[in-house]
Parts: sequence; C-alpha cells; structure tokens
Amino acid sequence: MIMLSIPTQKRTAPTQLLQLAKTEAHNILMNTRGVDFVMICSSDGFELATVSHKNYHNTTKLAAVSSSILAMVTAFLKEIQLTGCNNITLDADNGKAILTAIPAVHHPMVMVTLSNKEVLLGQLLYSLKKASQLIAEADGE
Amino acid sequence: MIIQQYKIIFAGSMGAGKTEAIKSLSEIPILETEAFNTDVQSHQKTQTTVGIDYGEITLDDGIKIGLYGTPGQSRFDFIWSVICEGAIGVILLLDHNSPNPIEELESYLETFKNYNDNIAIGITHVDENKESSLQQYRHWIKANGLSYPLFFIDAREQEQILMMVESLIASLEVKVGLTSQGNDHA
Amino acid sequence: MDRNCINIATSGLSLKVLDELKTLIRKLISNEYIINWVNISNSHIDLLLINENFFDSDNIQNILQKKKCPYLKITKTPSQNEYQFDEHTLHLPLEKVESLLDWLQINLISYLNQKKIALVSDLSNESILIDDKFIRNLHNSENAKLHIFDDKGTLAIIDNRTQMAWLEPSRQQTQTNQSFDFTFAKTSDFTKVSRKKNYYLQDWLWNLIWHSKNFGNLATEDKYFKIDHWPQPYQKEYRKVSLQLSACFIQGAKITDVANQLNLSIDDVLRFVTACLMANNGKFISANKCAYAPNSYLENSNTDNHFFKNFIGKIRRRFGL
Repeated sequence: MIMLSIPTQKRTAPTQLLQLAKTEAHNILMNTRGVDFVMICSSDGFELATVSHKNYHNTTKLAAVSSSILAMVTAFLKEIQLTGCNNITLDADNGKAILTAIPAVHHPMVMVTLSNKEVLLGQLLYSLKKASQLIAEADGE
Repeated sequence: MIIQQYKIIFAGSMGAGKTEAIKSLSEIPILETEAFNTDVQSHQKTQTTVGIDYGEITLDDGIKIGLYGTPGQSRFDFIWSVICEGAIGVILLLDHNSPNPIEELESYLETFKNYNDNIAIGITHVDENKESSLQQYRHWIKANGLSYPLFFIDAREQEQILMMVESLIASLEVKVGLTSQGNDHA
Repeated sequence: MDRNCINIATSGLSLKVLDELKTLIRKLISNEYIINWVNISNSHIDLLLINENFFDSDNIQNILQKKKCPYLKITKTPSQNEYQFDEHTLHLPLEKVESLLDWLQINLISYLNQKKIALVSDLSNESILIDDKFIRNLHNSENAKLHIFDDKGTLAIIDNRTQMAWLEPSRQQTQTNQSFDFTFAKTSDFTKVSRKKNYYLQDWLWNLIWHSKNFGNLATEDKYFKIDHWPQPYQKEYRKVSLQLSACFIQGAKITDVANQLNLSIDDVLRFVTACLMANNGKFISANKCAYAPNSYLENSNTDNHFFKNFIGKIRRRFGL
C-alpha cells in the first residue's frame, strides 16, 4: 500500500493520487465485461481522468451533472437517515450508469461508470467498492 | 386542502451569498448540497454548492414557498433552466469583490431573463472592496435600458433579503394591477 | 438668497450725488440685505431714486406703473419743512440722516417684508431656491466634496466623485426642510462627520428627503415621471410603499395614476418624486413615454386575480411585509 503524503493546503488532487485512481479505473474497464467508460471527477464537478472504449462527447458536463446528482442524493439520504450508502445505480433499458462516491478525506471524488445492459452488476459493484476503498486509503493520513 | 408549492430562486456568482440568503429566510434547516471546492482560482472558500440548496417557508393554509439555491458556476447551468420553471422570481446575488462584476451581471441576466423575467439584483460584500465603485452597477442597468431593482446588501441579514423578496412581490403586484388595498384579507 | 437682495435703480443723478446716496443708504440698511445698484431698465426693482426733474417723464411713469415699487425723488431745492422729506421727495443736502432711515424703514423695508411673506408662502407650492440648477450643482462631479447642512446644522459631507456620504453622527436618521443647502467642504467641516461608515450618496439622499415631510414638493400631480433606478429604502416601515412606487415609476408613469392605483395620497407620491429628483434619479417625461398603464393589465379573469391577490397577501403576512 502506497501512502501518499499530501500537503493539506492543496485543493487539487496530487498527481500520484490521480495516477492511482486512473489505474484503478483502467482495471475496472479492462476486467469487467460490459463496462464502456469510467471517469474520475472531483466532488465539485471537475473531470480528473477518463478511461473508455467509446467516445463520449461532453465529459465536462457529465462531471458536473454527476457531482450534482451525488450531492443531491447525499442530502436525500441524510433526510431519510440512511447511512453508509456510497453509490447510485441507474438501471435503464439500454444500459446502466453507476455513480460512486470516493470518500477520500482530503480529495473527495466521484467515479462515473457507464456500461451495457448485460454487465454483471454484482461483480461490478464489488470492484467499484474495492477501488474506492483503495483510493480513499491512499489519500488518508 | 391542497398544499401548493411555489418557489423563489437564488442565483448568482460563486461566493455571493446564495446559501447564506436562504439560511437567513428558511424556517427549516436548509438542505445543502455542498462539495469540497477545488476551484480556488474562482473563490477561496472551502465548500461550494453543486446541487440545489433547499429551504422553505410556510404561509397560512399550508402553502409552502420553496427557496431554491443554485450553484453559481456555469458548468452547472443545466440546473438553472429546470429549476426556474414556474418560480415567483429570481434573486440574483453578485459579489462586489469579484474581478469582473459587470461581466458577471451581464452574463447572468442574459441567461436568467429567458427563464424568468421577474429578477431582483443584490450586490454583496460591498464593504470588502471600497476601491471599486458602486456606481457602475446602476449606470450599467440604466445604459442598457433595464428596469430590474438593484440593491446593496449583506446576504446574512434577514431584513435585507426580505427587501429583495419584497421587490419581487412589488413588481408582480404592479404588473398584475393590484392595489395595496386588495392585499389584506381577514 | 434672493429674498435678501435689494435692487435699487437710479436715474438722472450726478455721480457725486449718487456716490453720497450709495454710501449713506448702505450704512443705513442692515447687512443682512445685499444691495444691487441697477439700471432703470432692470426687470426687478425694489426702490427707484430719480432726479425730481425727470419724475414726470413717460419712461419713469411707465416703470412706476408696472413695478409699483417705492420711489424717492431727489432734489436740490430746499424743503418747506425741517424734515427734508416731503412724502416722496428727498431734499439735498441731507442733514438729518434719521429722516432717511425712517423713510427707508417705512417705505422700503416694510415693502420688502411683505414681498418676503409672499415669497415664503409661495415656497410651499413651488420651490424657488431649490430648483434644477440647485440640484445640478449639488450633483456636479466637479464640485467634489460638499458640506451639506440645514438650519439645524451639518447633515453630511458628500463626495460627488466617489458617490459617498459621511454623516453627522447625531443626524443619521433625521429630517430636513427648505433650509437644506450646501457649500464647498472646508477641512474643519470634516471633523463634524463620522468617517466610520460610508453611505451610498444617492440612496442616503433619497431616504433623507423621503423622511422630510417639511421639504417642499418639486413636482406637481399632473406630471409624468420616470426613475432611472429603484431607490433603496433603509427602513422597514416604508419599504413596501417605496418599492411599489418604484415598480410603477421605473416604467414611466403619471403621478395621479400611481396614487390612484396604489391607493396612496398624492402627497406621498409627490414626496417620492421629490426625493428621487433630489437624489438625481429620474426626470419628468411626456405622456407618450410612459409604459405604466394601470388598467390595461386587467385581462385575467376575476378568479385568477382574486387568487393572486390572496396569495400575495399571504406572503406579505408571513414575512410581516
């Protein structure tokens, strides 16, 4: 486990952390059948890294919308008093989208995963959870 | 009794005080959708709204008015059009401390007037930048033939936010041709 | 200032006589009066000093008919009585100065006082001192720092360039009246005001005049008026009325229409317009430039309007507006 030391004043995620996050995203893309696109964003909606099989047009906007949705859901969860929920799965006729909150202490992030309808959701969710934990720990003290 | 929902939108530049304004009016603790701010170039603050902040006031008969706060940055503009639909009006807050307040004013008005034309403008943090002139705002409004109310306020002060709300109401009353006599019902 | 000026016209008098009379009259009349020595063709004459020999001329008679001002015929022929004054004739040389003083008191000063009373009662309808020129000078950015005061003393120092006002601390929430005036600020004036808080000039001035019920009106009810911006009301008590008035006048509106529609007294509306004019906000316009038309908005059905009125009423009650 690589522990990365990050000066607390710096808001943007340091290169090492981002590299780690990108590696994890890449692993998910390569190892999970059906996944087309994985993006890492800052929790305030900036795109940080993207790996994909398909070309997606407006990743900038996607980053903003994703952070919005996650923030609204977090507020909703607080209202209904559900705890420990870190992702949202959207199940559509022609595919799936998963938004995963990466609860890194200094640099909270969001992972956006897009896949086809046939993806094995259980396996994907498990992989996303592991990746998220890894990144969060790397950011911890 | 049908509970009806109305809304007032709080829009404007990052750090102008939208969340604060809603907090000062809301009778419920507000639903905040803040995230850790990584855009220090735009503003130094640690948290910034990325979703829709929600506050509320209840009138007699159970009618509720939702106070909706929007994120200021343009990358969240998809929220603005959706949220403005059917609103009583928009309170547009701008930070006097910003490097280009007039450009921001122009840009926000350009966007929001398409969603809702009942707009009241509040310039905040006036004390923090005494060198920059206050005259520029009303001059710009006049030069562009606009008629929106523009006031200098502290977004944390309830009475001043109420003044903004009241200017939205006054605009509506005059538009619909109401007299003050007609407003008080038993 | 005009109330304390005396215009004295002279005709047919030798330079020597003129000089003597000028010196004498200046000595006898209090310094509160400024004396202007004018030509008989001047439009404004308070006293006419005329060579007795020219008194009967058409020119002089015309002037006296028109102006109806006090006059004094000057002659070198000796008088019949010891007073050297016949009713309107002064016999030179003058030995008893008191007789001229008496004469001036009776004939000139009381005439001026009557005019003064007439002037003062006129001011309640129409401002003479405070007019367009006064307001233009007040707001002229070349007149950088001005000391604003009235009969109670200093109100503020204003800076036309930065549009700021600094107030006399004891008069932050005050009223003023027709004695409102200004001069260039001297260094010593700055000690009278507090520099702790800056007020935005146009809003401070608007609130001051709005508050001042004894400030004369600068408008009449038959006029049409349009403001450039909504004035910012400082106090909750008059916030509603001020904002409603602003919503009307920002479009350009007839003063009586606004009073009727908002169910306000004409006085209140005139005071709003006066306060705006004093704050250099807006101007009188022609009827065709007005966009505010109260009755044309009643297109909605009655139920819609009723519901809306109800709703607005509820919002106002909830917020205490």
